[in-house]
Amino acid sequence: MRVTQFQTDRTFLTNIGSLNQRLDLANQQIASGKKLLSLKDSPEGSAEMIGLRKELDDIDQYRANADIGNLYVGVADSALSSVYTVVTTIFTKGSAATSGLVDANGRVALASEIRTLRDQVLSLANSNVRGRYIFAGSQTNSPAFSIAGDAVTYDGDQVVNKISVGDSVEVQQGLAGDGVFSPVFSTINQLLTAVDSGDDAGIQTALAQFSGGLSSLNQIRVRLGVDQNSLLDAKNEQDSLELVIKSRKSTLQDADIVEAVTQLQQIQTALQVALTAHSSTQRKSLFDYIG
Amino acid sequence: MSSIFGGLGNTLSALQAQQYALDITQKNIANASTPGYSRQRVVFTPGDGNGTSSGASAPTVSVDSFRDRFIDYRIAQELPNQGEFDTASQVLQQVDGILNPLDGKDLQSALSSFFNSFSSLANTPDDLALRQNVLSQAGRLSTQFHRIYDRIQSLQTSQDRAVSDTVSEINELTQKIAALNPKVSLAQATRSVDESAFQDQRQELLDKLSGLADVSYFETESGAVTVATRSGSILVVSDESRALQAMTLPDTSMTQVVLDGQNITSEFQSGKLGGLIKVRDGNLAGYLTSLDDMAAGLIERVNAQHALGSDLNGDPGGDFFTPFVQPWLGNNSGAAHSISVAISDPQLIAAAESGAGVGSNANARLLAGIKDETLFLPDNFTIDQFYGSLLASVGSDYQSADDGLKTQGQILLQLQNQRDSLRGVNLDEEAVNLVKFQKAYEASARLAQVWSSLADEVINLLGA
Repeated sequence: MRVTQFQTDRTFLTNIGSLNQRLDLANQQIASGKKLLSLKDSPEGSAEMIGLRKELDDIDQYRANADIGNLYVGVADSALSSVYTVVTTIFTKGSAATSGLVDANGRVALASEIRTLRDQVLSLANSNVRGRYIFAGSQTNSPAFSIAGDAVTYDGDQVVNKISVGDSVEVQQGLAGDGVFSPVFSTINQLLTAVDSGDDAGIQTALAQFSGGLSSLNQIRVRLGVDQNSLLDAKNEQDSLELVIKSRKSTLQDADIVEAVTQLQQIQTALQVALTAHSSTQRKSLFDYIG
Repeated sequence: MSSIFGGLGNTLSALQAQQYALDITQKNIANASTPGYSRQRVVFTPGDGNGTSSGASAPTVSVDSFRDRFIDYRIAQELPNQGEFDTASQVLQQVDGILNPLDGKDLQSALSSFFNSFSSLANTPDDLALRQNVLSQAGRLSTQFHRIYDRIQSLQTSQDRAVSDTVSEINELTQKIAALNPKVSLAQATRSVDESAFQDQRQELLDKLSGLADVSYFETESGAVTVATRSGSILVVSDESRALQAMTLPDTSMTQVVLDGQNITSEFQSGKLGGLIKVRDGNLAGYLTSLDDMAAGLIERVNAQHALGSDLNGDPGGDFFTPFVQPWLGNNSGAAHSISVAISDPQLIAAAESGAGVGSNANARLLAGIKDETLFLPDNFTIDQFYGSLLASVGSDYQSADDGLKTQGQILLQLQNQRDSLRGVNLDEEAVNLVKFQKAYEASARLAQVWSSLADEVINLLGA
């Protein structure tokens, strides 16, 4: 085949051009640490990346939700634990108020102690997190319980929020106070009425109801404990999911830096050789030797 | 038997022939790096006599150039593909940059932040700061839609302008080709030495034209070329060219290509022009439609869910986004351009279950859950899957344009090398020719000297 200057030049330029392109790509990969620099580098990979990034965003959100959930459930649990202690004390005071053990003055003093303890329970039932009453159902902007005389009324509703801590994983954010506190207040009230009137039989009847109330408090604390565990489990699950997703993401997008650097060196050498070879042969023709 | 003066005459002819050959060699050397130049060759035809009075012994010379119409034609066939891929690849590279920014602040992150702001709100539904955050994220999402949409649309507009510019370029080329046609015909008829130069010029123009549009051409016996579009609409015949017009028609928003009142836009499938039209009406229009569908789907679903909840005042949720009104049924054109948040008062976000107190988060959770709903038919894609599929289609369009461009570059490199192997100037050859013709010239001159001394001899004889 006849070879002309045009061909030599064109082939040289094409080769240099493609070497430069590869050099540029290797440089970008090294600088960014990524091999997925453009959508064209992997169209399916780019689509998958969108999904993976969304998953990672969701994981962060689920973990934040679990933390907040933990806060609410924790506050509820510690309130109920205190309630248990206070109610136990009320039971003791009530037991001491029967006529064989105490005189009329002593009964009045005990009734007053029981009222103070009842107010403690009321205050615990009106626990709040940053101004939000956690036992009021959805009526978080006002106290869950109010008192008139000795009568304690629930002012909240039965709505219980759920929090999302994973794809279709939800945990209850605490509980509505009505079910757990109203029977307790009613029992305390019954006790107070009997103590006030020195009705020993009435005191015994009221005291008999305490064990039921205390065991239901315990049951609810067990449920809150389970919820706290669920939140912890959900968080752990998100942590391990995160590892899987990050590893997949890395496989898709991260450049093999060692390979990229090696490639860069190879391309640079090839480029140098091509340039040197071309400049040494360039424009040599018979004209340089005759005449 | 030759006469002395006859011999001198023949020598003169031989000198002239060698000189002519040297001229051609010089021309080849001078044009060694002129693009499109076809090297010329001197054809020596032996004299028909032996130097007697009955005929001359010196050769007659003519010039021939190296041209292979088949390779020219093959190249002209491949150039439109290169023009098309080149155009598409340049535009798609820009789309890639718009959709896939290096800082990662793309539509995906805006969508995630938007939905997750509802999820954060669900943790403390009456928190005004969290409510304000929902509105900010919704605003950011809208801005992100606008940014992407408007930038792709402005790419489309610049493609549209480029259609007009390319049509002008085509018209300029067809005019020049039509002007060269009679020159080639005349030079061919008169066997003028300029024929080759005219043909080279015209071939350059035809190559350029082929890069711009997928036209076909053929050379008639007179030497003139006829240029026509893919389906046979004539652009150049003999010395006449017909200009294409670039204009918008009553039923089109984009520039169309018109010839003699006929819309022939669809005839251009390749070349820069075909590439521009395809990218403008196909790729870019498709991406915009996807973004519109995505925005419209989001607006509709979020508004529907928002209406099911209660706001901080206990009222049912109003429109969260400004409702999008389809210009006609089933068409979401403009949704991504116009998406905006309808409420500015954070109290009006309907986070609560309908009728429940301010602490209820049920609706906020459901709003956050829209991220995982399969809103988009026919593939039942969630919104991020839908967006992912848009990126995948941009990526694969870009990939095929880029691959096409690379392959096309290789094909053309081979063809052009093949053509240059035939027509290009090789300086070694010219150097050899130069020496050859120079030596022949010197030899002829020496011969003239011999004849001259013979003549002197005769004259001296006569003088004695």
